[in-house]
Amino acid sequence: MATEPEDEQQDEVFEINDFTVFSDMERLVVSIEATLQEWQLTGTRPNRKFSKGFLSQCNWITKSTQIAFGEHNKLRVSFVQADYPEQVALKTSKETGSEEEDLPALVNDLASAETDFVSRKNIVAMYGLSEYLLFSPERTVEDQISTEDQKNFIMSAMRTAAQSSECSIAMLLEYGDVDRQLFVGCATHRHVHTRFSGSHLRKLQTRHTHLTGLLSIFKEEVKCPISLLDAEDIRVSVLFEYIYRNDSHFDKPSSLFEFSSSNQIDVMHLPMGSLEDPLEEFSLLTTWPNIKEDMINENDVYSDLEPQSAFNWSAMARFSAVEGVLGSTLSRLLHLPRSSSGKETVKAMLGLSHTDPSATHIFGQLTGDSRGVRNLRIGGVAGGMGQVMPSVTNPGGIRMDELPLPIEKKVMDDWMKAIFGGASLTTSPEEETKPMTLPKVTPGSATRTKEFKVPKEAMKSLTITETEEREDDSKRRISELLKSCKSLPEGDSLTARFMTALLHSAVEDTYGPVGLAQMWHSFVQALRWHFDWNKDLEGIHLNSSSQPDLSKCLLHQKLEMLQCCIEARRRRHELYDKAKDFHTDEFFDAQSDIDEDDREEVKGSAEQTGKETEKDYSEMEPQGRLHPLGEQCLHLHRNIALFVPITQDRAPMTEDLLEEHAKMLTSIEDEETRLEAQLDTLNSDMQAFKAANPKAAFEDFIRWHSPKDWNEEQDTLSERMQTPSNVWQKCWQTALPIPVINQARLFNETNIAEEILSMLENATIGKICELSMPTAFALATQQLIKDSKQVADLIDIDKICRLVQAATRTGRRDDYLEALNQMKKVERTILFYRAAFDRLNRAAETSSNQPTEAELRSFVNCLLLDHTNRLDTAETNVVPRGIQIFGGANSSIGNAVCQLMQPAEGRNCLKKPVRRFYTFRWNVPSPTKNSLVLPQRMFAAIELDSCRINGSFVRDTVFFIDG
Amino acid sequence: MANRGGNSASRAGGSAGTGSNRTCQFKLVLLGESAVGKSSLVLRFVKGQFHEYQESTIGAAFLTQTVCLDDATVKFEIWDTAGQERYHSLAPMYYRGAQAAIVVYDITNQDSFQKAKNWVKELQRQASPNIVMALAGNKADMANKRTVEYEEAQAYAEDNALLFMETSAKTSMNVNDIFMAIAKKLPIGPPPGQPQDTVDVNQPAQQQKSGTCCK
Repeated sequence: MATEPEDEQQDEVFEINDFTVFSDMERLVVSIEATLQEWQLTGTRPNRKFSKGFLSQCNWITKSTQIAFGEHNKLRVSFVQADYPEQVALKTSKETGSEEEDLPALVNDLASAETDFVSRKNIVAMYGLSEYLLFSPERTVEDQISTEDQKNFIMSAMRTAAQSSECSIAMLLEYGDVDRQLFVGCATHRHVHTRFSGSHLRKLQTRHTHLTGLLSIFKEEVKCPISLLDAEDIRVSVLFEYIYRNDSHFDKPSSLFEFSSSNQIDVMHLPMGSLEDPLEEFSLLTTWPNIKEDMINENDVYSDLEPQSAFNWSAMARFSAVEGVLGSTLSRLLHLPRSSSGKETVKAMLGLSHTDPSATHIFGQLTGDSRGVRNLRIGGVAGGMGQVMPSVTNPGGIRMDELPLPIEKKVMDDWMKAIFGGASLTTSPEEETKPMTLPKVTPGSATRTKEFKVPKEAMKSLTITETEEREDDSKRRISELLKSCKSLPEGDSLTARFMTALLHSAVEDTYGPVGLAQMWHSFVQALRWHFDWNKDLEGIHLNSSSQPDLSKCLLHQKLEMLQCCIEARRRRHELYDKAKDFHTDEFFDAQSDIDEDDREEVKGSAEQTGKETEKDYSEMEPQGRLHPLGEQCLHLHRNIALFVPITQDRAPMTEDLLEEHAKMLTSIEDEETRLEAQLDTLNSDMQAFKAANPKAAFEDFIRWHSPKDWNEEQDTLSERMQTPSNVWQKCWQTALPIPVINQARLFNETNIAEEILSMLENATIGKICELSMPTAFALATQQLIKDSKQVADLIDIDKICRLVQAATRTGRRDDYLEALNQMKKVERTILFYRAAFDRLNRAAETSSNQPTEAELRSFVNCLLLDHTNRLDTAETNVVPRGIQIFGGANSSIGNAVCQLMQPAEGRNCLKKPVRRFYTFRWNVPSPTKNSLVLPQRMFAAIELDSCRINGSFVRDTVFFIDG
Repeated sequence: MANRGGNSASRAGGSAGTGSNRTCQFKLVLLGESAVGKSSLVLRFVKGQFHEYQESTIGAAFLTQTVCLDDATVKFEIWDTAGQERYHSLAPMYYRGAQAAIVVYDITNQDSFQKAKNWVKELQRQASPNIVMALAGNKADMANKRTVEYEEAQAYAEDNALLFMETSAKTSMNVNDIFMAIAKKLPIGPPPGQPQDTVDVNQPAQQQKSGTCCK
C-alpha cells in the first residue's frame, strides 16, 4: 500500500494506453485478498463444536488492519475469532472421509444454540458466528458507509476477494450510523452461500412485538419449500429482561448516606457516602433456551413466558459513576489552594479581619444577598466584647456566635469536646462563664444536631493492626505502608480526630470553604486555650526524646511541638515554684530523683543566696543539682562530691525549624562565627555546672561533659583540651555560675508556641489544605481499608497505600491526584456494593428464604465485577449479560431479587419485560426441496421503541429442477 | 510542603562545561564517639592537614569538598558533628536528609566501636532509607594499641552493607579513598538536559530516582 501514491502517478501518465490499470474496485479487492493471505484465512475452515457456555465465557481474538477504500476513505478490517483450544476444532469433513456434503464451518455455528445471546460480541449474538471478518469505517463520520452504492461496491469487492482466495469466512460490512449497529454480509463456500442481513426499526408493527409475530416473519423469510409437517421443528431461544429502575418511588438504602454533615459530631469516621444513589438499574434476565417453537406461546394478548418459569435466571446491575463524599472532599482539599479562596486567610473568610473585603463578599453569598452585607455585623464590630469571657472559641471576645457561620456555636463546641477527648473547653478551668446566648439561625446554618458519639471505644478501631482476624501478609504489608506514610501516627491521636472533623466540615461546600475555615479557626483557638492554661493536648504522645517526630507530617509535628512547649513551660514553672518554695520554706514538694542530703543542701543554699558577693563564686552555695556523678569528687577538692547539674533541654525542633537552623549555620561563612552561634548550649551547661558545683574546676566539667577528654590514668585533661586558646577553656573562664532557672532560655517555649499558633491562625485556606493533605489522605486510606472489606477482591488497596505513601513523602500535587483517583474508584466500589447489597438484603428481610450474608456478598461482588468488565469493553452490547442465579426463582438469591422487583407495595417490575430477545433456528432444504438441508437463523431484539432483526440465511446454489 | 525550602543540596548543578560532566551536591554527616578523629578525618580530606591536638568540636562544623569522578563532579557538604553525649540529641538535625554518613570509631578503643554500632542502628532506623553508610576505623597508625580487630569490624560492616575501611587521619591512609568510595556509590543525577527539579535528594524519606550509579 505504500506504493499506492506511485501507482496513482503512473495512472495519470499512462492513462490512455494502459489496460492493466487498477480501478478502485480492483484495488480494494487486492487489498482484501492481501489481508486474507497475510492472516491465512483462505481455504476451508476447521469445523468447531463448542461446549456448553463456552462462547459466553471465552476470550475473543481480534486482528485488525486498515485498508484504503476509494481515494480518501479507509476501512478497518478485523478478524474476530473465539479463542478456543485445539481440541474444539473438528477435522474438516473431507479429512474425515465422510459421505456428507462439504459444508462450510459456519453452518455448524448457525445450527448451534451456543451462539444464542452471547453478549460480548454483538455479531455473534445477531448472526450466530464464532468467527467473522468485519469491515467497518475507520473514522466514524468521514468514512461512514451511507449510500447503497458504497455498500454494494464494498460487498462486491468482498465477494470477489472471498471467491478468488477461497475464503469461506463470513464477511460483514458495518454501514449507517455507528450507534445503530447495522450490518450486511455474506459468506461463500463452494456452492453454499450465506446471506447476512439486518434491520433496525424505530417504528414497530404489532407483529414485531411478540413471539408469534416474529415467527411468522421468520417463516416468510425462510420460505420452506417442503410441507411444515415434513420439516424439522423451529427452535427458539428467548431472553427477557426485567428492569428495576431506581427512581424516586423507591427509597434509597440509608447506608449510602452514613456521612454526617458538619453538624453531626463523629471524630472517628470520615465522611463517606454519596448524595446520589449510584444504582441506576437492576435487571433480571430470564432465559428459555433452545425450545421447540410449539412449546411456548406469546402473542399480543397472552404469554406463557412467566419469569418464574424460566430455565435460567441471571441478574445485572448498572451503576452510575457517582462521586463519593470522601473523594470529593479530598479533591476539594487538593483544588482549594489553586482556587480564588485559596489565598484568603481563615480570619478573612470568617470575617475576623475587618479590612479584608473578600470576607464581606463571602457573607454576602451566605445571606444570598450581595447588598445584604451592609446589614451584617462582621468581625465583632458590634459591641459587647467585654461581656464575653475569653473562651476557647472566642479568645478575643469577638462575638462569633453572631456571625452567620455554617456550623452552630453549640455544635462547634461539641466538635471541640470530641476532638480534645471530651473535656469541656468553653470555660476556663477556674472560672465559670455565663452560658452563651443561643446563636441565631441563619440561612447558611443547618439546625440538625445529633448526640455525639463518645470516641473512647471507637478509637481503637482506627488502628489497622487491631482490626481482628489473622494478620496475613498483605495486611502486614499494608500496615507497614501506612506506618511509613509521612502523615500521622497510627491509631487515635488529636491530629486524627481533628482531621476527621475538618473533613466533615469541608463536605458542605455550597458557600465555599467557610465551614472548613470555621473548624480550623475553632481548633486553633482551642489549641491556644490549652497552651494558655498549660493543659496537655490529649492525644499527642511525645516520644521519649520529647522531640517532634520528623517522620510525621508537618501539621502533626507542629502539634507535637506545641505539646513540647506546654510541657516545657510546666517544667519551668515547677522548677520556679520549687525555687520559690525554698525561700518560704512552707512546704516542699521534692522530685524523687533528688536525694535527702541534696535537698538539705539545696534548701540551705537558697536561704543564703542573698548574702553572696558577686566575685567569689567558689563560696556560693550550690544550686540546681540533679544528682551526684557516680562517686566522683571534685578534682581540686577531693572531699566534695561532683554533681550533675539540671540542664536545659535542647530546643525541640520541627522539620522546618531544623531546616532553617541548618541553613543558618551553612550560611555563616566564617568558622569562628559559626562556632559562636553554637556556643549557647555549651555555655548554658557550664553555667549550670558551675552553679551546681561552685568549687569545681574546668577539669571537673570535662569529666562530666566529655569524659573521653579526661585521662584517668594520668589524672589530667587530654592534650587537645589543654591547648592554649582552646574555645572550651575560654568559654569556661567567662561562664558565670547560673542555675538553669535563672538562665536565658535556650528554648523559649512561649515564643515558639506563639509562632506556631499565629502561623495556624493566620493560615490561608491554601495553607490549611496543604498542611492537612498528608493526614487527610492517610486517614481516608484507613477508612477505605475498613469499609472495603466486603469488596476486597475487587480493589487494590495495596496500590492506594503505595500511592499515598509516595504522595505524603514527596508532597507533590500530582502524586496526590494519582492517589485520589484510585481512592475515588475504591470509594465508588464501596458505594456500589452498599447500594446493591442493602437493597437486596432489605427486600428479602421479611421472607423466609433469606440469603445468608456470605451468599449475598459474593453475589453482589459478582455483580460489581460484571459491571466493571462491562465498562471496560468499548462495544455497546445489544444483548445484556448477567450473573447467573443458580436455582432461579427458588434460590435464596433469586428470592431476594424477586422481592426487590416485586415488592408487596409499590411497582411490580416483573409484570412486563422491558426488553425481549429471541433467536430462531430452523434446518430446512433451501431454496428448493432438493437442495441441501441448511440452517436458517434469525435474531430479534425488541425494546419499547425499537426493534432489531438480523437474519443468517444459508442457500444451496446448485440448481435443481423440482422433480 | 515537605519539599519546600532551600534544598541547596538538591541542586544538581547542571553540566559544568564539558558534555557529560555534572556537578552533584551531597550532604554527608560524620558520626561517632568523641575523640575518635572525626574532625581530623575531615580536615585531612578537605585541607590535607593534620593537627595532633585537634580541638574538640562544639555543635557541628561545616565544610565542603569537591571530588571528581570519571563523568561527574561530586560536591560534599560535610557536617562534622560533636561526639559528646550531650550533643547526641542534635544529631538528627544533621543526618536528616543526608545522602551519606561516615560512622567513625577508634581502633584502639572498643567502646567507640560499640558506640559506632549504635549509630549505625540509629541511622538505619531514622535516616533516609537510601543513605550511603561507611564505617571508618580511625587511628590505624596506632595498630600496636589495637583493641578492635579488623576482621571483626569488616564482618560487621558486611552484615550491615556498610562500606568499610581502616583509616588514619595522621598518615592520611585511606582518607581520600573512603570519601571516593562513597562518592561512587551515590546516585549521580539525571543526564544533562533532563529536568532536574524532580530529583529532590534532600528529602529524607523520598525514594530517590535511581540515577546512573557510577561504578
